[in-house]
Amino acid sequence: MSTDVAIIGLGIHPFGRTPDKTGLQQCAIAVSDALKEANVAWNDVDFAFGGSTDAGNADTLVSELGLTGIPFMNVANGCATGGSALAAACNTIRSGAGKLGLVCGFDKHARGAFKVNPKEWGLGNWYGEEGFALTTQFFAMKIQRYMHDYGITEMTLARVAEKAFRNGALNPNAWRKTPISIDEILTSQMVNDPLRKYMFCSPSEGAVALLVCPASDAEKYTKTPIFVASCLMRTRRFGTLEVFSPSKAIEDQKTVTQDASKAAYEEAGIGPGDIDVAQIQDTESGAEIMHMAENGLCEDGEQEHMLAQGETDLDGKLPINTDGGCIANGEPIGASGLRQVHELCLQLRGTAGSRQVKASPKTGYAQVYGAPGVSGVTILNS
Amino acid sequence: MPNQKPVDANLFDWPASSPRLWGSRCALCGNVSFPVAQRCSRCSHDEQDRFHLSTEGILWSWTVQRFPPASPPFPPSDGNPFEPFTLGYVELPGEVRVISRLFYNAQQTPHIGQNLKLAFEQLYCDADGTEIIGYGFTPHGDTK
Repeated sequence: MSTDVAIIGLGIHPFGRTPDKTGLQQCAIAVSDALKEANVAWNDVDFAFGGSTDAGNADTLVSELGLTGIPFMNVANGCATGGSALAAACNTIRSGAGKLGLVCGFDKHARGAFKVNPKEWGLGNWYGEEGFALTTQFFAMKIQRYMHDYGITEMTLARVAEKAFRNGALNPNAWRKTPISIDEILTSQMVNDPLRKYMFCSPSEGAVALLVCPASDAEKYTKTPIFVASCLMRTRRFGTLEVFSPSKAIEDQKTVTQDASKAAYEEAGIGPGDIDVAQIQDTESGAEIMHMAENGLCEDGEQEHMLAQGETDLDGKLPINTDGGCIANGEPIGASGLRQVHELCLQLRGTAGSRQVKASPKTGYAQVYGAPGVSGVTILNS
Repeated sequence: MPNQKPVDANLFDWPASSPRLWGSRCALCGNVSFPVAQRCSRCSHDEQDRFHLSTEGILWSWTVQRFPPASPPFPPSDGNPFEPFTLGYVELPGEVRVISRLFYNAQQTPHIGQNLKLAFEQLYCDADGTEIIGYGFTPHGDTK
């Protein structure tokens, strides 16, 4: 790539429930923190990309931050909103069209499962009347088949959730900060077989902001820039099983995450063996397990012994979802992907506090997945 | 006999002597779509031939919906307690895997690879008493 891009400022508003603040207000706080970190003023920012699903138009943030006249583009890509915003900002820097950009994502969802209007997803109303308009069912049916094909057990589903809550307990910005035992997880209410209550993330609230600039400018702003080795998103191809699919071809194809992952490794010029720490979409336990393989971090079926041996723990060979992931943070759709990037930056800077992974990580990997079959991957270097 | 109608007239004919799901086959590449498509999702060709999908299939994956889906689009409860329901993807050999309700009696449990046949049940009654009919699959034959 022509111009390398650096992340030089970070801000996050804690995830969870914040009844006294709108999503936009939470985002304005995250932006202020990112500006302070980089020691710049809002007036210095010359472009912005941002998005939310349920909490308003990102470009109205200018009312909170100041009416400086910059181009501010709204991004709406479901769970890949943050990743898409970062990708667009990187391209803006690389093209020379901007020198200091804001990337932000925020959301504020009502309690309970996401309410889905089938028509917004290109489906007839019958899809909802039959009872199929739920994202949770898709994840359940995908892992059900995966467990059948690759010998993954319910215990491994529980281990993923147990790790998420354990890591969340070390993260001051997490929503769920109380560890939950394997036994409690395995006896919690069944929601969509084989997935139980404590294996799922829930819609929540939160905001994340990042500042980006050309790598050559980074030292003006920070001693610890993090460099973007790759940032891209892909949509699904024919033959894969995705959220909100009335049917699926009998021939199986590589998933959208496999496609995005392969492209990202190629862009970064590295392979899965170079990854030191990863944040991957864990809408529920099964998603983390399947995404480990889809992102090339293991072979199908290896997750069973990797989880049993703690290989994805903070002190393991390949720590995954070190901030507690979606399971401990909940999922504010617009903010979720940037939360992963924020956590990777902390880990690569070596400032993740009590959840800092052991060996000084050099390369981090983030992946989001969402309806109707989009996946975004970001690879960062210290 | 109360009035009945299909949950969507493009999915299957109802009432009908032997109702079947409608699918479409791409005139260029032969790919099968459900529901009927205007354009092929594999090759983008826009000539699609409507045909009746197989009434028999095998269970590819499944789950149970144990909490009430949001209404709308799910039919209102009308004060009745929510009954969990089973659903899955059913592979129609040589055609396509379709999402479907799974109708089981108390003695039957879902398992991947199970033989299934097409069935229809009332999903709900609309405001004027019309019974809305949905499609599903139910075990048959050599089920373990």
